[in-house]
Amino acid sequence: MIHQNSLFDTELGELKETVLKMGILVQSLIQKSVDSLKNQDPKLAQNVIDDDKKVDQLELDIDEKCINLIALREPKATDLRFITMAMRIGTDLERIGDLAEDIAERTIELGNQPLVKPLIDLPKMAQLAQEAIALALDAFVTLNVEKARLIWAKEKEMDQLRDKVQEELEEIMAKDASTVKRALPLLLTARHLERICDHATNIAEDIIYVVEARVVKHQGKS
Amino acid sequence: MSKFPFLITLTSKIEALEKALKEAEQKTAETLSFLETQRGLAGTILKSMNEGVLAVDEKGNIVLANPAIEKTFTVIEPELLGKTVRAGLRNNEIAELIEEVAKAGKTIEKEISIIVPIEKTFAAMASPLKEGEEKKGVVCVLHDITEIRKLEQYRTEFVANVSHELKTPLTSIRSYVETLLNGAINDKEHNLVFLQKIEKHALNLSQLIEDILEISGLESKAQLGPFVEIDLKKTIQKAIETIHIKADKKGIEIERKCGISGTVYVLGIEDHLYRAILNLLDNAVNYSSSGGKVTVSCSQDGKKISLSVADTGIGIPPEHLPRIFERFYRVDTARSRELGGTGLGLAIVKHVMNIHNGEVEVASEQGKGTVFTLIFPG
Repeated sequence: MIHQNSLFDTELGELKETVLKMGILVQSLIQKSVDSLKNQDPKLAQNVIDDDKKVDQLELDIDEKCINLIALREPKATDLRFITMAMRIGTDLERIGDLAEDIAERTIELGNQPLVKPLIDLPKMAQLAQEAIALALDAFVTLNVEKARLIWAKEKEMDQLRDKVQEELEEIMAKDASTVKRALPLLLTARHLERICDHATNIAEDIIYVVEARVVKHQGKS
Repeated sequence: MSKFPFLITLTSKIEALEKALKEAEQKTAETLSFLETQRGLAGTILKSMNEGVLAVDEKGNIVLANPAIEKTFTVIEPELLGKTVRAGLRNNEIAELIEEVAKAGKTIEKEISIIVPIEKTFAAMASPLKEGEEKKGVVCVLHDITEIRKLEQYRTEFVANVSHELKTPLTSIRSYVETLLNGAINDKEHNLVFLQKIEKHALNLSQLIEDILEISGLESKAQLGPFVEIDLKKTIQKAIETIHIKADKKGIEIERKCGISGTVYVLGIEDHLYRAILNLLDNAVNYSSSGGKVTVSCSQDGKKISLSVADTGIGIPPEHLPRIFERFYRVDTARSRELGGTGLGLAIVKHVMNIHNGEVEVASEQGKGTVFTLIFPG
């Protein structure tokens, strides 16, 4: 940080804590949403849907903190990039929260109809998504670009798993058309989890922008 | 008298000073050693505690984390020091509890759960750290109550399931009795049928109670008898003899095919093993149609002894396979009840194998049949 103002430091620390709080919350929502699907637990799914409101509120809190900091502290260079990054991370985390909510809605949609296949890869994908977010939060706390870059490997792994799940489900549906209604929610869940990982990648790109003042968005990963 | 009396006085004063300094040095050394011992003792106590202990300073930064915290959150203390609870432990609930205690200045107890790295529930107690009136931070102690909560949930679910299962045959019995009392008792065409139905539901009910008692007996391991050498082939024969009448009635052939020569011994409790084999045979006969075949075989792989019960029945759809050993889980509830099933048969088999340190495996193909295999560690 380039400023020399301890109050500003405290305010930036508070902003960081709020982003962390939101990140930890969405991580738990991903876990809970996939657990609710795996155990066909509509109560847990409802819990995720309710908790997404907390995520939305935290996004508003982050926006407010960032706008106040920009207006009152007139940040420059790294400080300014950090604050704009925090705002963007807030938006990505809010989208992740929405995607976890979407997964929970799939659980409710399925009800107690038997799953078309035992869930093995979807929990793996949920684990990957959480690891990607954990890396993003680590990179955010320590402004460590190496950790941020590790997320791209997770994204690749995630894409492969998504393709595998998609192929399996397509095969099941092709064999027996009556499974379509039960297979679609799983297919959508795979898609939601893959999107979650994409948002973690966005966060990684933002962190690189703060540390290296270099835009890596839309330029291929390097 | 000395020529320089002031020198004598000075010398004695220096000596006294030297002595005092030595005494002070010794006392300081003793105090330091006492403090070192105390610190070492406090450290040893913290290290040996099963409860996690976490302390933060007045700014909310971690100043202490004992090994129990390190183990739970798979981190090491040096990585935590100086970080906030959220940055270090990635947990909102602990962070919020500590913030609440710092604000309120009083002890707060709360149940908190973590899902990363593993799902656990803690009874957390946080208190303010004070030196006189000055706030120095917060200390939080985490006591793992995961097992207690799991058991409680398990019990609640079990009671709910049992109540439901008991009500079903009871409701039928009551309706038939009511119909009979309302005049059907004189209806010669139907009264016998109603009484037979009452008998059937009463039998189901008593079978269910027997199964519940069996499963609770298996769970409270204290009531289990001692392990003895059991002649497996004899036990299989006994179970086959019991099921033979039912199989014959349905026209199902039972074949015994043991790939191990001589007597096969396993260590265990005979009554329970007999019950597990009988449950598998009963299912095999129930879910096979007339003309079907049930094969009981055993084999040995190193020290491991396996016993398989294969049928040519309807098979189990793959989506149900992961759950069939759960209590009261049924693939087809109506059919299972019709056949007198309690929904506990396979749960009992699994429990029996658990107490024998063994395993139970299942392979099934719809329309072709199912194979259950009991594996004994040998």
